[in-house]
Amino acid sequence: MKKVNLTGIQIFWIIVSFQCGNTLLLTLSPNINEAQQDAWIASIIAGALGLFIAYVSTKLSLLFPGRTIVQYSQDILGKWLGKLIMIPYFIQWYSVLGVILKEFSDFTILTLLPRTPIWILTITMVLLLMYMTYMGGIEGIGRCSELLGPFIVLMIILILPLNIQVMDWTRILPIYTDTGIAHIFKGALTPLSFFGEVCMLTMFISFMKKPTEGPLRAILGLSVACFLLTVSSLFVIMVFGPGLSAKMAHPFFDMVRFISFGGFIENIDVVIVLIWVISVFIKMSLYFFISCYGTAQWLHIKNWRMLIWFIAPIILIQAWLYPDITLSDIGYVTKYWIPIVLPVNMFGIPLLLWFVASIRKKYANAH
Amino acid sequence: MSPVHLGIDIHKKEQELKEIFTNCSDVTFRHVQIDGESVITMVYIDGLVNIDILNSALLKLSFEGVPEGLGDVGTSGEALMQQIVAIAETKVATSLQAVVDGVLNGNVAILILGESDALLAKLQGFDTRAIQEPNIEYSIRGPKESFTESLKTNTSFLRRKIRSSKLKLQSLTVGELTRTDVLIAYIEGIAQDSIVGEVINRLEGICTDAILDTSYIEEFIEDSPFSPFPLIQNTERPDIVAASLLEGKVAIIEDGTPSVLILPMTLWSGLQTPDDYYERYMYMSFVRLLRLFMVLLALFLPAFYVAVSTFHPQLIPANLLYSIISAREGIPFSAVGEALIMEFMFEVLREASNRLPKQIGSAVSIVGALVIGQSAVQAGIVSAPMVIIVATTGIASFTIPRYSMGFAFRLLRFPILILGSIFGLYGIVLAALVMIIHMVTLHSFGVPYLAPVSPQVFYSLKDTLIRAPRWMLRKRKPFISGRDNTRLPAGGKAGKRSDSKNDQKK
Repeated sequence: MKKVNLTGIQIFWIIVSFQCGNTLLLTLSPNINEAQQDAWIASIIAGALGLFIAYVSTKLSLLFPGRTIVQYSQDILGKWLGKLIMIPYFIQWYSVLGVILKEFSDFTILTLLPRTPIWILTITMVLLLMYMTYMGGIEGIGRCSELLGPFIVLMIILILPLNIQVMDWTRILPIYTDTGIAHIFKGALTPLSFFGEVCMLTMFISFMKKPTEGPLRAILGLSVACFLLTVSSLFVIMVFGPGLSAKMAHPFFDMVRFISFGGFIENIDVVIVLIWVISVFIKMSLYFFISCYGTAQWLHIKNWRMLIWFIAPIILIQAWLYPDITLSDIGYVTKYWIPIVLPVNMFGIPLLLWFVASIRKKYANAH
Repeated sequence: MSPVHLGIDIHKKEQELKEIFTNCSDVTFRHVQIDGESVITMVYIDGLVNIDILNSALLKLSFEGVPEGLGDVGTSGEALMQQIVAIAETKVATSLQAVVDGVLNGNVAILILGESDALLAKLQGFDTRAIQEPNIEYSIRGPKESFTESLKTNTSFLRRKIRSSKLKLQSLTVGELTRTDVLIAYIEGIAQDSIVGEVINRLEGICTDAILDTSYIEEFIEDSPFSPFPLIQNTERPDIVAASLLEGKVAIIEDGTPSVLILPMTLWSGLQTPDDYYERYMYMSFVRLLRLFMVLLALFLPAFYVAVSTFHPQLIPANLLYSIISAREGIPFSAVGEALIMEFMFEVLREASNRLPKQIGSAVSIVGALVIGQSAVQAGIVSAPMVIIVATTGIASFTIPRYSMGFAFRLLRFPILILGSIFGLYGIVLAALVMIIHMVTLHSFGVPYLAPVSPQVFYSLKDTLIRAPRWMLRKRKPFISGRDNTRLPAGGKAGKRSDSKNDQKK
């Protein structure tokens, strides 16, 4: 079989396209709720901390070329401890797949297909994921994002300024004085926990043809996503004001729905849902791939594609078990994602591994 | 047939050959008698051999008389070749099988009394079509010649365009019964050795009785036979083949067909016309983008119309929606039913006008336009907007320059339409994603089908999505070309010397 190769451009577009969808849709409201009109500052802070995570994850992977975190965690901490430390990741990957699937089907039904039974959406999406992962693997995902990423960014950039007539820039005033640093940081938590998903790069860098391109491309990709989020939060606040948009479930979506441009472009919320579907698809296929591939490496299974048949039912059943959208949308993020995944999986483990690995390398070099 | 050595007895040899060619009325046996005895027997297939030259050679024999020594038994074949047979190319056949093969290939076999070997004289000459203008791939500017059925004519086209010893033409024979001559053309150094090797491997792996057209070969050697997309390009234009060879591609030319295969193929080469490189770059860049848009229209327009009008009418501006609704009033079918009927009728018309002689073909299109365009709307069977949609889609699909590529898009339109009618725009996105995943996994002889857009090679995009001026296309296409990657030296444009220094630094 041919060796799998990811290029630097693909890493860039992978990050841009999976970060644009859910981050824009889900993080604006909690962010504005905390940071009020300074949500855009919070977005920038979240972006900066996210860049740090991206930097740590890619640099850590560069220490062990050609190996994924499942493998090098064992190199660093020994066999059993290394295996043990991967368990939080597996919980994260498996659970987030079910949650996104549920959230995707609920939101799509809500906005696009109100009379369609939910199982049709979950099953078509899972079939698509299986096809993607089975046929394309990570290279396929990379090449898909390379094709679709530019469309996603272009559409967001084209759609954003259409509300320019109703924008009022005084709504972002006063800057900082009303909120203070504590609120801004609290507001930054939700977007940060989404940007922090770039820690899955620890799985991808090993597939790169030239891994040294990884850190810069990852940082550039996340910067684009952060820029789009910052601009969107500015625009949302300028359109609705902080009070109203904090109460909306999906303020970005509502802002697009609000567009009425030239009497001809109206109700184009459908377009943004489609963009979001594509972005979520890429995000889910990434998680789906690393779940299959990581589990296979963890259990030393030769043919990782076999695990597709095992993981697909798991996430389907999960998605059917979640009672409603509020749990998957908000409960999961506030109860599990921010308090546990963010400090442990995104900051804790990569930093710990990086720390131990650098000390070990130095120790090995000294002797 | 085992390689039987030819005997000395000319009559026995003739008898054996006659047995092999039983019931082959076009195989002619011609005797030349000297002193009342049949000394020379010629065997050839009438129609494959240039009789005029043969006759004049015989005339030479009869005018000049038989050279000394021929009457004696035991004259060497070499002497015969030089003295009697005044024909350009001859070779000696030592086995019966070689004689039979030679005759079947259009040679004249000359059996001589007392000689154990036979002579094969290359006198191939059969009626061929004159060189014509391309029928399918028409171009406004540029050469107006197209390949013919004759292998020799076809290779001479290439040799005339690329006068380099680096242009290699390797020959193979494929097909148990047809024994078809196949040539693999490539330019050494520019084409990747691995691709050339792979092509030869796959061609040698073909195990079939008959090859009548390059399409047979195409089906045997292509990478993903179950894909709707063509993975090997075919063309009838020598200039396209020459340009492709210069990019590092490999061509397969077959005796007896004017269509030449070019591989590896990418999606983008399926969307290019020769005019892209003959007309001015600015306009052609615009046309290329237009063509890309047309491809999207040809794929998605009917599905989009059905999905939007049945699932998301809020996307249509109010005034437009009113006119669509009023036009659809009283139509008995749902939008998707209407679309399927119209698309089906369109394909029927297209196929009918393809198959009919030219004179009747135009009648079909007039009847089709009147019946379907006008009467069906007036009778209230289909709505006028749907006619517009289907007509636009049809015309858009005809802007796809490669015929085989157009098929793929016309075929894919139907599943997309059905998905769009079930799931609305979500279904279209679903279909598009499936299509993209499929295309991303396609390879043609190791070259990704969507290269250089995915995997992206930035410098090459200026010759893919647009057509940059020729002096900017300094490098050959990535993934395809081999060692020699540079097309132009630095400062290749006359009168623009100032930037040449910068290029040399790179």
